[in-house]
Amino acid sequence: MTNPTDTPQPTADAARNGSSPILLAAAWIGVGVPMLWGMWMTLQKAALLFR
Amino acid sequence: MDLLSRERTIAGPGFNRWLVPPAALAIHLSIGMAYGFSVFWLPLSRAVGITQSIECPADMGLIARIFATSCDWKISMLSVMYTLFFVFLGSSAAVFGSWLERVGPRKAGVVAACCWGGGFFISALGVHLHQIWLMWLGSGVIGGCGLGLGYISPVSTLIKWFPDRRGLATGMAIMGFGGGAMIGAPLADILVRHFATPESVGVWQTFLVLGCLYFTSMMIGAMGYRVPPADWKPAGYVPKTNHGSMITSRNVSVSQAWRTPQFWLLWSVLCLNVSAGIGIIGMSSPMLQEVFGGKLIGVAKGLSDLDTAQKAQVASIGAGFAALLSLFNIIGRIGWASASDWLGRKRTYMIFFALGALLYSTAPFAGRIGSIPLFVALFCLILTMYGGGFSTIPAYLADLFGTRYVGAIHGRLLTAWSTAGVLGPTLVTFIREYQLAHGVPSAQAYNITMYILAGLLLLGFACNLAVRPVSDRFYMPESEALPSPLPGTSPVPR
Repeated sequence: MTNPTDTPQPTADAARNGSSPILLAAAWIGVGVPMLWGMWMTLQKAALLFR
Repeated sequence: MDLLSRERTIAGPGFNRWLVPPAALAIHLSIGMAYGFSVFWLPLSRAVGITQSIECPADMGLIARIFATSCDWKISMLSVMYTLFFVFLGSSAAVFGSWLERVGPRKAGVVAACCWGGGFFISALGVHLHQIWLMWLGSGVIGGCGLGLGYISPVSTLIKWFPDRRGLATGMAIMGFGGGAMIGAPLADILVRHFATPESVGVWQTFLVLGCLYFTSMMIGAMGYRVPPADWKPAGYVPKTNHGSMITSRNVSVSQAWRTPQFWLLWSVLCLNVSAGIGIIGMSSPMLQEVFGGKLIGVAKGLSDLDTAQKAQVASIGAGFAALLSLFNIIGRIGWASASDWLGRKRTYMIFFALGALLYSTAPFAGRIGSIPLFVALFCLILTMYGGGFSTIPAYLADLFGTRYVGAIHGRLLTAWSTAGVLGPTLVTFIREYQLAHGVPSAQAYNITMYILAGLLLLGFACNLAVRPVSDRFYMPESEALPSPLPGTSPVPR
């Protein structure tokens, strides 16, 4: 059988299965940006401890 | 409904397994807001009075207070929500874990989205009508079931996609649960201030917006779930097959798993690790303030001798300390779970308990010598191990019981979290009040607490030490354990 892969394959199959590098990047940005924002807000609050 | 079926979630050729962790994170970051609910307590405690809280008459009974619309809720009534979260998270994960294995992660994720998002809508109505029981029912009970289902929904799938890096995979998702409040709490604060008017504190409107946001995010996550075909393996991965090792390639069914001593030992391991950690999280801010007092702002006075402005300064530093701990809790979730892939699960928990006990015991010393950096560093490290305990346990279960029913087994194990959620804070509060009642100064009342929590960790160490490979008689026969006829399916035996 053709296995799902460890790394993105820019093939027609990959595009059909929604595994394009663009989708992968979008998915990680979608969760990464809110997380970074949350961490930034938390760090700002935590910075009071070191003033 | 066919779109939600397990068969429709089986990944096709060319699917990239790294798309699954963001889907899991979309769900875990949403339900993680449960930790941030305290941001609503202050505005909700003056929902009727708006500018200041209107107290209920002293002779008003509890039932009357629950239905009262003319006076404000106390924070103690509001914080019942946390108990409901913990209890319903654990019990729903335990009850619906087998169902999740049968129907697949997508359907479970969609139900979790409906429960968690819908809970916010019911809570919005509860705040609008000023009926706290609607909030308890909406976010506490229904939302709590969403928490349990959402929490376990990606675990089994991730472990199957990452058999070579189980710890990293579950660590990524469970890190999201720790990080949800980091996004949700400041967002909720911004929304409450945006919606606040002279007639409203702005909370019900915030609940509506958050409900929509979380429902959408969780639906996207659920629709993004894919399960691997039954015989899929990462390129070059060779499963360990030696019987009797701490990592099995066979499977134990759900009904058998909880008859094994290993299940109850891991239950105790999780319960004890979480009890100690929750106890610390709850008291971190007041502890720092009471132990160091004016030293936090460069004034050589105890906390009780400071004026109002100085106390406010110290309180904001305490809040900063709590924020820093939450950050280390998240770092620990991904860090320790990933490290467990090469350290081994048993050794990772040995470190948690041995190092944890040492750090808890050292904390009173740091307080005595007045070293703020040492005190802060100790607790930051402790919190990484609290977070790591959550994220490493699914991989530990998969190692011992196999990957096939790990979602359902993990669901049942989460009752340990519910137990710890009640046990930890109750124990810490009881010890502290007992000492204060016996004349111990408040700054020193934490010392005994630390030693008792260290004792809990030593007990956890003993439980972890006793974990051995599961006995052969509990494993499913090879014939039953063969891949299901339908790729990716995983029928749960009765």
